[in-house]
Amino acid sequence: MMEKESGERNSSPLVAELSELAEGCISDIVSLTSPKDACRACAVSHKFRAAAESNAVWEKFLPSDYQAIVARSSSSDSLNLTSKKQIYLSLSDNPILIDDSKKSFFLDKSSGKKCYLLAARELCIIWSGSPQYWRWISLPEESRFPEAAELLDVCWLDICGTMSTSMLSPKTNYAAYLVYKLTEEAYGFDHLPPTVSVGTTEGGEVCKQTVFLGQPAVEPNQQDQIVPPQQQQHTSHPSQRKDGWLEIKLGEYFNEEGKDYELQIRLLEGESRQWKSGLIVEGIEIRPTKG
Amino acid sequence: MSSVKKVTLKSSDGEIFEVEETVAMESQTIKGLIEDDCADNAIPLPNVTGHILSLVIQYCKEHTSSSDSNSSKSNEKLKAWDTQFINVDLNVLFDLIMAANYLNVKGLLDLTCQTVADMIKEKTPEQIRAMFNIVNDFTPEEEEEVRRENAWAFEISLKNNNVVDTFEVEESMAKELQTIKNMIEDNYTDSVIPLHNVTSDILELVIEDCKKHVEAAESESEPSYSLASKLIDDPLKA
Repeated sequence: MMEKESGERNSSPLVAELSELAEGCISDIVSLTSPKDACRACAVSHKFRAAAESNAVWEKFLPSDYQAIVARSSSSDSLNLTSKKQIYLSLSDNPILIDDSKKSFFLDKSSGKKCYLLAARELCIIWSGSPQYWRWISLPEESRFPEAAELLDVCWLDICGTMSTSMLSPKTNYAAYLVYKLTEEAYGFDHLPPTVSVGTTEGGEVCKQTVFLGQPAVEPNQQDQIVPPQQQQHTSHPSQRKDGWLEIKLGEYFNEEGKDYELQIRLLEGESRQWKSGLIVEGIEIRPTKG
Repeated sequence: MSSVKKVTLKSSDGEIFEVEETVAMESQTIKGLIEDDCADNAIPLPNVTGHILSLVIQYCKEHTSSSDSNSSKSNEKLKAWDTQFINVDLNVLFDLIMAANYLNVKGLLDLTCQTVADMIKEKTPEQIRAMFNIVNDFTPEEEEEVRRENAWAFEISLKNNNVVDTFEVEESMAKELQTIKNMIEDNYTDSVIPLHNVTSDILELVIEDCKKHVEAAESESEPSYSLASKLIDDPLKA
């Protein structure tokens, strides 16, 4: 079974010589792994590094329409980078603003899938046009967008985001999150938790649950006593993000291949008639689930 | 006489193969030669030995007949055949890659490359070198630089109580903890390491402490052992 090849090989015939492979072949192999594997492969040897950093490899990891998306940014420095690997890493680490600064686009670093953060201005927030209920504020230190929406007072909380599923990566399971903060004087979020839903009208099943916007890292058994026990199972809790905002999961959606549906993401609390205040909305983020 | 057109292929070690033209044309390289009328005599293939050439021909035969309208080979059966076919030792696998590349047989190149790609996935550089007998031709400084440039790829996830909190830590830091170091060195290929006996708070403290150790080691000062590092020995020693 063991082959003794031509006399060119100096090593023992029992051991395979991957190093004999042309760099192009190694690139072909690496492009079938993953971005993380490709970066790890750089540390194997000089030849592996050259193969693993080649444009052929990283072109495969980038979404096929990335150039068109980047073109929608008014300040796209990304395309001026010299290598596809650098473009990939830049789009993963530094989201870019597109569509008149109404959306933020970035890649999921480990998979190369497309992710978006829809700005508050891109969302449909009921009553946000009325200054006694909501106001638009500028938070240059904290927000990546020109404006965020601050809730002054409503009893009907209704936030909706829509986007075309063709913007998402195919055959991928996505999750949507509300990205927000609560001011110190916030009130009204500890009674009836809002209902959230994610889905499409064409696609059929819509994922629905309730969320608890209040204090993060609250253990379920320490939850506010007022929330009825039967809602605890379906209620998710916020977590702290690296960019300083909180996020709460609103639901999941599996994006098929080749379909162009309208994805609707909604948060609604209109039953309790309770007045709420102090919610600052950065936007709604859509990114792939892990695993 | 057979009405099927045949071509003659000659391997690097002189073996002669007579192959149907349609089968031989699975190779874009050979197809080009045939179309340019260069295939009247035996086509010499100096880069491919007889053994490997016979395997390539086998592959081409199988994949030509399946596109035949008379053939009842389903996709599933073909995949099963491929899996069986590719079950060869590494030397043969690499020779097949090189032959598929040289002869430009796309299906075979995809199949062989995917097989090797699956072997590389999730492996550390050391494991890849060991598996394929690659010499590490980096100097220690060069290797350090490459690892630093690609630091995110070397992070290991530590998960507590099998549940929610995952901490991304640099491999060098995680190795400060003996238990984790052993797991990594035992080729624990899953990049998520579950730590059942440790809560988030403790794990956070421990990680902070490891960070200090690594930073202290880098600045060549004497590392000071804090209370948290004493906790390393207790909850984490299996």
